[in-house]
Amino acid sequence: MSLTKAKLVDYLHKKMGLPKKDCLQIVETFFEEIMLALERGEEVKLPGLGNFSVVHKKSRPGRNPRTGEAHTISERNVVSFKAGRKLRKSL
Amino acid sequence: MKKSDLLENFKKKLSHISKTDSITSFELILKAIVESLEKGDRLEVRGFGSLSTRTRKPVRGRNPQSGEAIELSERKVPYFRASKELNQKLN
Repeated sequence: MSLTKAKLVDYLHKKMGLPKKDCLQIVETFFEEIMLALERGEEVKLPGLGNFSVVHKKSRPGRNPRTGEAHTISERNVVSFKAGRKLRKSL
Repeated sequence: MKKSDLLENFKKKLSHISKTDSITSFELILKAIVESLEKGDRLEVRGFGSLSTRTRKPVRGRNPQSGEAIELSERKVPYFRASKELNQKLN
């Protein structure tokens, strides 16, 4: 079963005894803050998990796999995640 | 952006939640994500993206220094896929 926002909220609620409303706000802030930092182009380091960073990709030639038509893939920013050593080991 | 910076923003945004509670919650969320990945479950958060594990096939590798052949066993690596929303915000 995948871990969702609702499950994180339940988990916090059980462990912390805080009102669900607060737990939801905490969980949302958690992901929001990561996204805001990435939008600013900052790297986010989460100990025990890994690092999120933004990588700029230059435009490159591509092909439509269905039609074989050639066209250019525009330049873009993508999120890259690199797992920490601890997580890689434990997997 | 490190954990301490994230926590700083946390405190500002969650002013009605005590400092210790927000720190503990932050750690608990991280722990829950890591444990879920270790179990082989994925994390799925709307608007953010998903973190899952992918299995790498065993490969015959080589120690680049000694040239010695070594067998790299099958392993799991975490994989992050950013949501459409997040990708849009970055571009």
